[in-house]
Amino acid sequence: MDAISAMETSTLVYETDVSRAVRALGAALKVSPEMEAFQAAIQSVNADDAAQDMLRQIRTLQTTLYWGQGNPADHSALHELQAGLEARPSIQAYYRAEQAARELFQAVDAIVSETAGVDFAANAKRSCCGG
Amino acid sequence: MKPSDELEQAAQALGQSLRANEYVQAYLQALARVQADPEANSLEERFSKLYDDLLARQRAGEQLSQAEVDEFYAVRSQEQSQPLIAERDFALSQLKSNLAQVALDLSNNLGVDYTALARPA
Repeated sequence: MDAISAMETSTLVYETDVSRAVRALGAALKVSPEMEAFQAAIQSVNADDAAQDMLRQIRTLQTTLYWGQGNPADHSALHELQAGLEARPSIQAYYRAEQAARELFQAVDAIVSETAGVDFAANAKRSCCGG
Repeated sequence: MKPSDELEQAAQALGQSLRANEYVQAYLQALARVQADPEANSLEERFSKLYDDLLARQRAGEQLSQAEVDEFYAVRSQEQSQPLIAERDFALSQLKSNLAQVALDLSNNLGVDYTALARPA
């Protein structure tokens, strides 16, 4: 253990502090009304068989059109399905809940970033190339 | 939207622990060194102006001359190899990698993608 350098010790302490803070923030976010409503909305969409069927059809049509194998009727069918999906109450509730969760997360992230001295979420996104 | 007191305290605690992080400290110090250096500042300003100007003209449909393209790459190379700027950019890439791991831990804890929800649309 005495082989652990001062830098490594500092990193271990830091990781413990950050890990603890991450768990505490995660726990506080989970029980927020916005997050509970968002999770409930996700479950409602998952339990909406008609919406799930529409989503499957949309994905199939999108794949067909992506590979250039579709025809004008497929485009129309896709637009109709998308409109039908967006009109479903479960999907509309999902969008509302997602927007409320987004506003909460952005407010929380502003506090984290201001305290840290660097933008947290803006710098935390993994790029496709490891940057 | 104003988060609850509990959320605000938890967010501040994470911010404080991140601020004490060696990667954040290294980046902030490297950033301060760039900001305090006239040569680095001047190079960054020159590159930024050149980039904005060429991009605007290209978007407007103008054909850029080879000399202008060459100048762009020359200034970019000069900027990227300036020691203080290179040091800051390296510190930023290290910081991003570290913050991505912290955000991933938070996302795993929550069951939703934290960065996707927290970043402005």
